[in-house]
Amino acid sequence: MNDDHSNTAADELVRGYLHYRGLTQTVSTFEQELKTEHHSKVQVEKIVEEILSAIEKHDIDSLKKIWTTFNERVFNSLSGEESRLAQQYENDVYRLYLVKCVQKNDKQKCVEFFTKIAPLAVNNPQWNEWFTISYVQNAKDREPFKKYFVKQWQEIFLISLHNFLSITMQSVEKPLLLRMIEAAMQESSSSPTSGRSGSIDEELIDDFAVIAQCSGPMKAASSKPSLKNLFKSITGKRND
Amino acid sequence: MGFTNEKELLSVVNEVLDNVLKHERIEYVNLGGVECRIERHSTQSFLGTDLDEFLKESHHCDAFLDPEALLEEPNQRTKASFEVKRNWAQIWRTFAARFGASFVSLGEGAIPKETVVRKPNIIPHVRPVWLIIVYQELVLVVSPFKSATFSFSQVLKFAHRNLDVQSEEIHLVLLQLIECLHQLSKRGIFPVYSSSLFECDNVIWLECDAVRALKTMRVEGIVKEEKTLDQVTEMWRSRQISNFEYIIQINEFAGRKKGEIHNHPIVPWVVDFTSETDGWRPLERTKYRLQKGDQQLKEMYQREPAHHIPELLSELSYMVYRARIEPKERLCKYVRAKWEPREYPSSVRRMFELAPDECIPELYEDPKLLVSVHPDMPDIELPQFANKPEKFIKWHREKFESEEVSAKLNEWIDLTFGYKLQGEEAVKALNVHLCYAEQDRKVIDHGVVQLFQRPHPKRLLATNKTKNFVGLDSKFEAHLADKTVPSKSPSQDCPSLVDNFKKLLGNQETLQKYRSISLKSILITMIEISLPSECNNFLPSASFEARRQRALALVSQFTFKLPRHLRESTRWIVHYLSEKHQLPNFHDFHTSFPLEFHVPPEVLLFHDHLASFYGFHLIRKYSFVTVDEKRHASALHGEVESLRGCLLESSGSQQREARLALLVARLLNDPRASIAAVSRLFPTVCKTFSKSSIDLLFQPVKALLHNESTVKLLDRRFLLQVSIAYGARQFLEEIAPTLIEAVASKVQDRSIVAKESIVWLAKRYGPVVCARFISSNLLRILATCYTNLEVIATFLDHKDAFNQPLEGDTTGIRVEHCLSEIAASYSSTFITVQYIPFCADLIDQVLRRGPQQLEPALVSILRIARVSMRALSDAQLMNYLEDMIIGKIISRISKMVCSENTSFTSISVRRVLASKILAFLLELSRRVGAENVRMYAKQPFETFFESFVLLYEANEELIMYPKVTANPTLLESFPLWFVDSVVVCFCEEWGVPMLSSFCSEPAFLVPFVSAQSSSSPSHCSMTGVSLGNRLFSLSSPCNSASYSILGGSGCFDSGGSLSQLWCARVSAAVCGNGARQSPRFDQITLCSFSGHSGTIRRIEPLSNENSFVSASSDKTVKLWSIRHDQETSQCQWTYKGHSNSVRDVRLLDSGLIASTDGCLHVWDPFRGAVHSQLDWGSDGMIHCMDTLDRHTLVAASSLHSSVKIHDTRAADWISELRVSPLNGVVRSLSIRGNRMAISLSNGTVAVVDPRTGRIGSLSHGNHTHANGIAWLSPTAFIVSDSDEEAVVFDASPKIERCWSTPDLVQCIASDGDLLVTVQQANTFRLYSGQEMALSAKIKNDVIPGQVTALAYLSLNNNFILGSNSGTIRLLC
Repeated sequence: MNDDHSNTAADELVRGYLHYRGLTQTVSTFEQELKTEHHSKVQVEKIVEEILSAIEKHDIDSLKKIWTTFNERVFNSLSGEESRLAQQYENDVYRLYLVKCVQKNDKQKCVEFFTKIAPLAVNNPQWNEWFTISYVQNAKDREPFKKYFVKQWQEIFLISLHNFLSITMQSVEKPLLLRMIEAAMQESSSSPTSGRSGSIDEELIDDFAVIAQCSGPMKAASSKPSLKNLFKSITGKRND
Repeated sequence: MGFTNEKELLSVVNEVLDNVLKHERIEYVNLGGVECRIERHSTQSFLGTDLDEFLKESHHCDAFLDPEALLEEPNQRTKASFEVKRNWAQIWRTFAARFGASFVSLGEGAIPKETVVRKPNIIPHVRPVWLIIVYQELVLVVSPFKSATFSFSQVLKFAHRNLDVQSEEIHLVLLQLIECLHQLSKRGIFPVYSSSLFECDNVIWLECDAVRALKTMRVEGIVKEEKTLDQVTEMWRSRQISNFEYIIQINEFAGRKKGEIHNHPIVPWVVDFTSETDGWRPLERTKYRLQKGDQQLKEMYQREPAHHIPELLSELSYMVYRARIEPKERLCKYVRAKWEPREYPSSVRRMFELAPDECIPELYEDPKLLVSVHPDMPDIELPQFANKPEKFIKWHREKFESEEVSAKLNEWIDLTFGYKLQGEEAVKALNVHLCYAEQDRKVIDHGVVQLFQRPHPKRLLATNKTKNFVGLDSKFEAHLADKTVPSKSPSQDCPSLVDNFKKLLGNQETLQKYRSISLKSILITMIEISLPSECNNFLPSASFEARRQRALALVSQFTFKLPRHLRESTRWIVHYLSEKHQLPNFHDFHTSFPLEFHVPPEVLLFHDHLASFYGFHLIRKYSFVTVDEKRHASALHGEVESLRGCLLESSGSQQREARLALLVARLLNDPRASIAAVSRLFPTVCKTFSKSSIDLLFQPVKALLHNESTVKLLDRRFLLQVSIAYGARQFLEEIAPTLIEAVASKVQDRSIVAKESIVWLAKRYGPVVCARFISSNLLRILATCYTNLEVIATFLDHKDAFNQPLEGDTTGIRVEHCLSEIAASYSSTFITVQYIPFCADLIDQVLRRGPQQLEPALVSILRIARVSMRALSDAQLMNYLEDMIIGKIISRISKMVCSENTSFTSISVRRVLASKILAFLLELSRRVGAENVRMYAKQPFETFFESFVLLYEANEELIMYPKVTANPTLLESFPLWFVDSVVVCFCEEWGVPMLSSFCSEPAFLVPFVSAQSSSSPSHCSMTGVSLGNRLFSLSSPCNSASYSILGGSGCFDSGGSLSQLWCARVSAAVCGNGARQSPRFDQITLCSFSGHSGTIRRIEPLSNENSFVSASSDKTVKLWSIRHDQETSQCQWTYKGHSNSVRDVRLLDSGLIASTDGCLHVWDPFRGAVHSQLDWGSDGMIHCMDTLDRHTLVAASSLHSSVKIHDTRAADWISELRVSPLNGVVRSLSIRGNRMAISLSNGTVAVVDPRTGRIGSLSHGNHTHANGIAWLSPTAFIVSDSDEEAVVFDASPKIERCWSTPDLVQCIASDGDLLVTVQQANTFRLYSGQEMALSAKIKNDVIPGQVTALAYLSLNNNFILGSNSGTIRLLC
């Protein structure tokens, strides 16, 4: 099923819904973003950029929003180990933010930060020492803050975060809306097999000796699509 | 249980009643082969439960329910609620109808008043109820009995092991709760949910007990208020309860119950019994630490898994403590199988001194424990100062309540239930328990429970009144302490008429209230499940209101501990719980739950498949009084298919795969399901699972094959799958021995199937592997066929010395068949270098250790000798006859058998052995002729005749009599008929003159021969001359002798198909079998493979080492099969899909091949089908790859500093990882486990976790033109470069250079600690660790051109080399 095709359909549905609700401002923003965004799926680079810009701009609300979205939509199907890593990255992103505030000597922002992330940091042993950061002298030379000030650590952290998002986001299922559209489209094209289950029963072999020597010319590269075409033509005839 | 008719039903009812009336307490009973659980509820226990509401709810029940439920008239129900004595039958009739149970109501004298037969109804997450019997004041509920179930609340106590709430596992658990809520609410049950309503199995599949759920529908306020842990602690601290009572209560909070052997309450030892007033035991250290010493604990911590303490209270200690009152059988079961009453500690002091564990409460309260019930075990000795049981207990308890203990008890609690159980504190206190350290995924329901997260408060100093409270009722104390305990209202047990009337008026309201409480309670339960470690401070019976308060507090205090995707959702839970919002209705909640709680859609599907799996499982397992094969088969089919559905849905999720592995393992363990499960599920498992999940199934598969009743699965079709899934090495090392044992199995079918499979395996893996792993074990296993050296009964009366078949011969013959088949298909080298030397070795051992234990081995030697004789060609036989077969084997055994000095376990054994030897000799003589026997095999004959002569002599009438001097044992072993039969037989074969030349006293033979005076002369004349072409002698020229230097001689006329080179390899493999083979490289070409016309870029062997793939710059990838019978080989197939020079090729464990010429092609070599063709996406050519898992691989491009991950299941790139902060191009990469080493053009070497993308460590300023990386160990890797020498790095914890090679390395191969490199100018090096074991220049005639690709075949110890001329050679 063509990604672009279902995306266009989804865009149209969303547009319709927004109009129905009278969310006209959103509609115009929506249209504008559609013009600039050509990928069928959100790009990891873009998200990391957003995170960085939120940190640079000291915009704790956006940062929190980004992370809440991750938590609910991306990090909801992690293994335990991955989840602990996500926890660490979450902490690290917030700490990086805090460190930037400290570097700019913006105490106000530090206080705001702690009130905003209170649910995460309160009672949390991983954050205990951090409440003092804006009060200690030379935080950048002290444990445990030290490493967060090092540029190389920051670089490596951002790469690891990028990679982690890249890996976790690929396992996220398509949104329900898209899946419904695709299901509907599939139904209308009435392809009886999904292609996957067919090959699963074949026996396993692991010896090249069983391959007949000088076997005939290779099968066409796209064996599956051709099969689908065959089905399509069969069902098409029947419809006629 | 499906009842087909009323008769069946009533017979079961009678059986149940019998059991119930006979036994006071009964839970488990076997009804007609089906294991059932019977619960009895008295009507009393339902007082205070609003069953009327339950009945009313039937209005709301969906129409799909049994129509009988709706038959009752509404008026009747209203009337019923007015009766003080309720109409029980009606309530349970409704219940049965709603839950699909059969129903029987019994009247006076147990005569059935009403019976309803129903087909079983399976409701997901509700424990099935088969039958409800109402009898007088009793309600009996019969349900299926499942053995491996756990109480869910107990499982949550050990959530750190059982349920990782931070992982996606939590979705499935919560989803199940909601599903259960949905099912019960549809049926009019609105319980107060809590984890204690549920049971689960090892996959955490929940089942709710509907009857218990019904019981919780109570009017609020009646539930008695339970104390929380904090309150209890405070009471202890302020001295309102005693030490002992407090410890007992803590135990209760930790889920420990009296009498449960794994979970018995635990109390500290407080004194060492050396003195009446002193001898305090230090409470700040664990008993285990005191017992074993710090040194040993620290040592334990160095091992894997790192822990100090194996368990809190071992079965052993529990039993030893209770030895005086536990029954003998239980003691023998847990302590020592042999009953040794004196071994149990004689005194309390000894008990204390020996025990590594803490004490049990009985020693402080139960004098009975000290008095022995065993006549042969004395009572336990008590200290002088307290020498009566009662006195001792009183004294001991006083000690427990003393100030010394009170002051320090908190420290003991810290160790046993408190903050010193986890983290650094645990390590510091040498108190890391095994159950925290273990990583496996077995569900546990006993162990240590951490109740306190912070240091436990100390007890307040004593005041005057404290002492009085020892042993007082805690409720009473609470009153004294001005704590309000809700008073029991006298009317609560029996609601008054007025109450009933009030209820009737307010019915609608209470109904709403039930619903709202029920819904809230499920939200509370969800929070409790999400924060299991914070919820140990309530007992399971805690009230709804207390739990609500706690849940609200937990959410605000521990937001960061909640599963991350639930953090926001819990906000509206809080709103509902604090009644700020209208609750949703049940149906809405059920449908909106997945969205609101961010349950991934695949989990929903997964759950549905699982639900149908469990449904079919129930139907199959527990369905019937009469077994119905057809239904069993169809249920099994449904079961397997729904599990297969799960498998197809689960790919990619570790957690789900792990659960499924458990379910698949469960089916494999079920003898009636294993074949269906394997044939249908195993291929799917291989196609979908990742490596770590497939590994979870290895032990179950191994156990299944090991099981004596497994027959069909020993077939090659399954074995092939197993060997592919786990790789050749693991298969050969762990599965093959089981198969070889199976050949010697007593179960005939199993043995036959295994035999076929072994023959197939021997051919599949080639001669060298066969010699190392298969034939060597076959030789060993043969002896086990003869553990019982009994002559088959029907042959006992046959007085024939040559024909004494043994019981073991029938299975032995199959092992022999394998051996001869191997010799025939490869070469007789196997016989000469393995079989015969094995026999000779074994005889050496027998001579050293005496024959008694090795009698079966002796028989096996003779059988192997016979196999060898039959398989050898005439020329070879003559070569090996005199020295080896006769000299080292037969004559030595003969001497042993004929010597009176050797003793055998029985007379018949000696005779059996003699018979086998003689049978061998007879066959030999028929093969080579008498003349050759006399020349080369005379000795054993002489030995036998000599000993016969010593036993018997003839009298004047030529009748044989035993000699007076004869050894009686030998005489009995070789009775006259035996000797007679031997002499006569050989006489017939050879004639008298020839025979007499074997015997030192030819006269001895006369009496036997004269009886057979007409011995056939034709035989005599025949033996003198040649027996056709069978007669050889050493003098005749034999061309095969010249090959003997290679160890394998005469291979050309042996019928086997191996070249001499391969024979030499086999003998090398056999010789090097004992110690680790030292790596060798003799520059001998075993086979050359021609077909490529350009530089070989890479060679990848299959794990079975019978095939390999090569990629070449001639734009092709070729598949090769290694044949042992050919010196040159053509390729089997060529992949021609590439349009450029092929740069790299990899084999995926799933059976696909990935190759790249800049564009990645993934194709199936066996079907010739292309799965996908991908390019990088933007500029850049893919130039190197490595496999990440069974279905995924990582590829790098020539223009990027990132790598991409490809999943063959998705047939696309799935993600892109950046590997360095600096710009640069990835030159080379290699993956091992969860580490990926990467070398970039900017001199950076990085180690990245390819599963999470986390950069482990970086090192700058290294190679810039790396052309290869290989991992040598889990932490070390080597990087080769086209401009500099290769360097070995260590990556733990930081990347550091270790050592470097002396020159440029062209290509690398590694296996274990063996590193093989080929340098420029074709220098071949072998490193073992850092040591260079071998360095040799490859001769020009061995391989033309510069070597550019190298692969090491570790099982065969061979090398495949490819060069820039396109030549590939298999070398050794």
